[in-house]
Amino acid sequence: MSETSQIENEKWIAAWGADWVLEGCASCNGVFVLPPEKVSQRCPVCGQAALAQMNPDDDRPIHTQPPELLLPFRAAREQLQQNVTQFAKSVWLAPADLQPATLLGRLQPVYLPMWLVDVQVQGEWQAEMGFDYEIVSHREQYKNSGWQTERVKEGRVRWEPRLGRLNRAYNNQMAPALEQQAEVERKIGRFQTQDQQPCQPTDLAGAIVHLPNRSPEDAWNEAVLGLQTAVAQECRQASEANHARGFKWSPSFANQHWTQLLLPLYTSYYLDDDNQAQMLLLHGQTGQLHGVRRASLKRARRVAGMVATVAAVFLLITLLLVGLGLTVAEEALAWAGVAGVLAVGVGGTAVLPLLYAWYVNNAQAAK
Amino acid sequence: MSDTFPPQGYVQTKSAVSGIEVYRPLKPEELEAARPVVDFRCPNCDGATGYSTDDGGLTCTFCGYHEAPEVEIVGKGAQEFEFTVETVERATNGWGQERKELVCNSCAAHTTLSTEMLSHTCPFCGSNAVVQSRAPQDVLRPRFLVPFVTTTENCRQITAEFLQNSWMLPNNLQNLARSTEYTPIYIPFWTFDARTTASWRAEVYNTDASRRRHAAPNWKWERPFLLKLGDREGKQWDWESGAVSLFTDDMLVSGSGQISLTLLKQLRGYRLSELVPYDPTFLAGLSAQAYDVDLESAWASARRSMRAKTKEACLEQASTRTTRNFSMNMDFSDESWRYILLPIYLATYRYGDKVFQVLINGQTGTIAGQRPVDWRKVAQYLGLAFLPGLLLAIIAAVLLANNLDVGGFIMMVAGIGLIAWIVFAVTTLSKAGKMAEA
Ligand SMILES: [Zn+2]
Ligand SMILES: [Zn+2]
Ligand SMILES: [Zn+2]
Repeated sequence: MSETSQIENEKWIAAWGADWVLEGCASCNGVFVLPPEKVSQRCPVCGQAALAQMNPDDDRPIHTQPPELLLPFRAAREQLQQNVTQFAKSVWLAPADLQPATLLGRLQPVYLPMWLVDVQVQGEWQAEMGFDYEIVSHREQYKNSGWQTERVKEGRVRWEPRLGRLNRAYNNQMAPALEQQAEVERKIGRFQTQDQQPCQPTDLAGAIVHLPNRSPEDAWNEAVLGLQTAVAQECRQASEANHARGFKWSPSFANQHWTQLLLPLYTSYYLDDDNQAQMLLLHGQTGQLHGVRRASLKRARRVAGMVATVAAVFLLITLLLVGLGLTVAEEALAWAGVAGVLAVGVGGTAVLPLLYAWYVNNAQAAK
Repeated sequence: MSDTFPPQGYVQTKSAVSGIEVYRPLKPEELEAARPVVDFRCPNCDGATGYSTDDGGLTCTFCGYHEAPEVEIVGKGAQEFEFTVETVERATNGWGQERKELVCNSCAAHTTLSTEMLSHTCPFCGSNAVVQSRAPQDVLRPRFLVPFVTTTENCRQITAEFLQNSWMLPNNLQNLARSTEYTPIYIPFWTFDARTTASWRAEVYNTDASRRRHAAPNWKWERPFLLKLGDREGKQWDWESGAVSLFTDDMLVSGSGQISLTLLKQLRGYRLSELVPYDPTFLAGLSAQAYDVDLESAWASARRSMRAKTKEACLEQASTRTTRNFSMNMDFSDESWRYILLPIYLATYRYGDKVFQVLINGQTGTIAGQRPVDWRKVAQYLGLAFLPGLLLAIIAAVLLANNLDVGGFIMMVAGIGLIAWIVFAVTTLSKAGKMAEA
């Protein structure tokens, strides 16, 4: 692997093995580890540029530490097919390249990185804890000169202050290793992390691995937020309360241990009129799809042209009938009127495909 | 976060998660429960001190030391409690016939104190103690009270007036008021709040006039005007319905089964706006009863009054009072209760060979009780009142016997007089009966 020799060659090979290649995308700044047969393909994440070897003076952060854990691809093939076909069908006047078979053929498994941190947390906490309790109330009915009393119970919540100290280890707290993590999860949903297993080189066959673009130090703040939620939850359990609110804490952290987890993702793309790649993301666990819908302005223009031609034919007929009406038979003028209305009506609908394509492309751009 | 851990007033409690310690605030009753029995000693001479209703504070009878209690009036804002399932269960279980063994801190005498008393005076050395809590009673202990306002001197005046303001009483009762002993005692009461929301429906016997006149809020006349077919005056049973929402604030129910309900009712009129938080000082050396009518039965009787009141409000909405097939549905909400102590003076006095009991409201000075009716005096007055009628009747008889027509007129006057006398006699006797029985 002489290509990677410029960038921490030895460390790299020691970590990943010699069969792997390190390439970067000039458009989205992503850094990827890929098997040799995938070298120099279109970027599987943004699709805007081909992956290429990285320059020695490239200073983007690279965390080549190999991952310890991964979530395997679980989405069923039929599910993926169904979602892709449905997506392709949902676009009218689609670009020629937007075909289910093409999309499925380009399906590329990609692993996204996620940081996991184990940490010992110490500190004080306080919160208001809510305890469910019941009160006894009564309902009465007066009928036939007599009272009937019914005892009813109603649920209430009693809020009480609680505080305490904490000294506890929290393992596998998630912190995003990619800037785009939140966006990806917003598009295709969250990942179920219970399924994690140790990462074996064989698991990565055929897949492209996205390397972290955030350092653990960067991700730490988000890890703390996640920790706070977990700790608040546990303090509530410790207090045997049913609800908690107003959680505050003053934590100190020790013994942070970072590991990397890979999240499964399929990507695919189609080319629009301008030969721009439009990306599809599919959740590797659920198969949920997110893609940008693009209509083809070319096809819209072609359809509009055909409609306009029909309108022109009607116009011609109108003119002919008008000529006929003025010279030979007056009743032809009535037919000219009908043809004229048709010409205008058909001509008007010619804008519809253009409007639709314009709307679809702009509505997606606005998102 | 706090500088010291844990902050004051917090105590560690059990935690269900290892590695997490949990602290909760101390409840006020836990602070007090630390002293189940409070003794009252004079800081000057170490003699026994007790609460004096005359100067409103702790007083030492030996050296004259006086200490006014810290009074913080909470009034009707005093905390109210919900009917939690837990409270209701505990209230129904009660605490049976448990008795408390008290060891006097001064003379080490052992006394057993019955559960119905909250305060105690050692019969051997006269030192005062106030019992704060008994195990099953922790939730159900008095939290508020109205302190004594009426002094013993007031009581004497009130009683003196009470014993003189009727001609049916003997004339020589003034001295009785002087010599009577007034025992201040706190009586347990429950106060209840609740909102009652009811909807009712009934057939109401209406005339055209009553239909036109009536338009109460939340009331509905259900028969469409088109179908107005009554008898000749338009009298007819109409279906009507309506809705009522009432809030009852601080309904008082006695927690004591010992004291006559009718007497207590006459003493009502406590100003709960003067409630203060319970403090054992107020009870030192005085008697104080714990409740023996439990929360559940007191609440049941309060609910009966509330629903009767709500039903009355429903009937009030109907266009006339003549109804049939009355039905209503009613919901209680925002129910809450308080356990409070109210001040009363108990006094018994002897007249002749009989013992009479008198109660005085320790806050307002209202008095109620039995009075020694002088039945001979009542009989004399009644006889005296009968005389003029009798005289007239005799005159009329004489005149009539002499065929004088005016005799008939006088006889009629005598008859009217007789009727008036009967009315007078009946009211007087019933009044006297009430005085004697109370
Ligand atoms: Zn890219
Ligand atoms: Zn003294
Ligand atoms: Zn003693």
